[in-house]
Amino acid sequence: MRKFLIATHGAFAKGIKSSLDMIIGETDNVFLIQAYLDDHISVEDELATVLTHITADDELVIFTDLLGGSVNNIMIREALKNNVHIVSGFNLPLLIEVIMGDAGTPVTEIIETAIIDGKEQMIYVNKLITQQND
Amino acid sequence: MITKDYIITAAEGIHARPATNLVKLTKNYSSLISIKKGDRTVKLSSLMNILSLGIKGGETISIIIDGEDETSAIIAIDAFFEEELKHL
Repeated sequence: MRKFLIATHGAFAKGIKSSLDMIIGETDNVFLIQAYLDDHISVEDELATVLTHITADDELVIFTDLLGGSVNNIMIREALKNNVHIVSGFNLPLLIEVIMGDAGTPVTEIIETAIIDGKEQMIYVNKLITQQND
Repeated sequence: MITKDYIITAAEGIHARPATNLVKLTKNYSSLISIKKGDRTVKLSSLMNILSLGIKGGETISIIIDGEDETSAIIAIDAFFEEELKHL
């Protein structure tokens, strides 16, 4: 089964999950890590809890907010193996495309397409409108 | 292959939520389902593909369905554009 983890600094993960639910509806198998909100729980411990839900037959896609950030670094160090895929710098379009991706399509293909789509959604809209009006 | 045109009656056009419903609808059929606006045709299986067309209220789009279950798929597509879309 394909499962997902959104791991971010602070409450970004919960916030973007709220947007995701509003657009595509409640989705199963989406875990959240809101790093450093609670001083008593380490990111490593939160991750270990999530990983108890992942079997060798599962695929886990981890979305992190910043390449080079501590959350991403911990995911690489503690979680990365053959059935785990980490995508940094994600946005809502990328998240939607991966989570709604066809279960029969290889996850690597879905991620690569979603990254292209996610980048294409970042547009300086004023400039776009100006170009369309010219 | 079935091709059918629809006029988008919803004022807001095909925004994120209706586009999501189209993607979910597509998953119920094995046929290849595409949407065409102007000279651009994209697969209905991707939300971003659909949103990239920027479909507004009043515009006409075409749905192209090709596959074994295309007859049942077009019934669901009809229901979407003629009824469901107004409420999204």
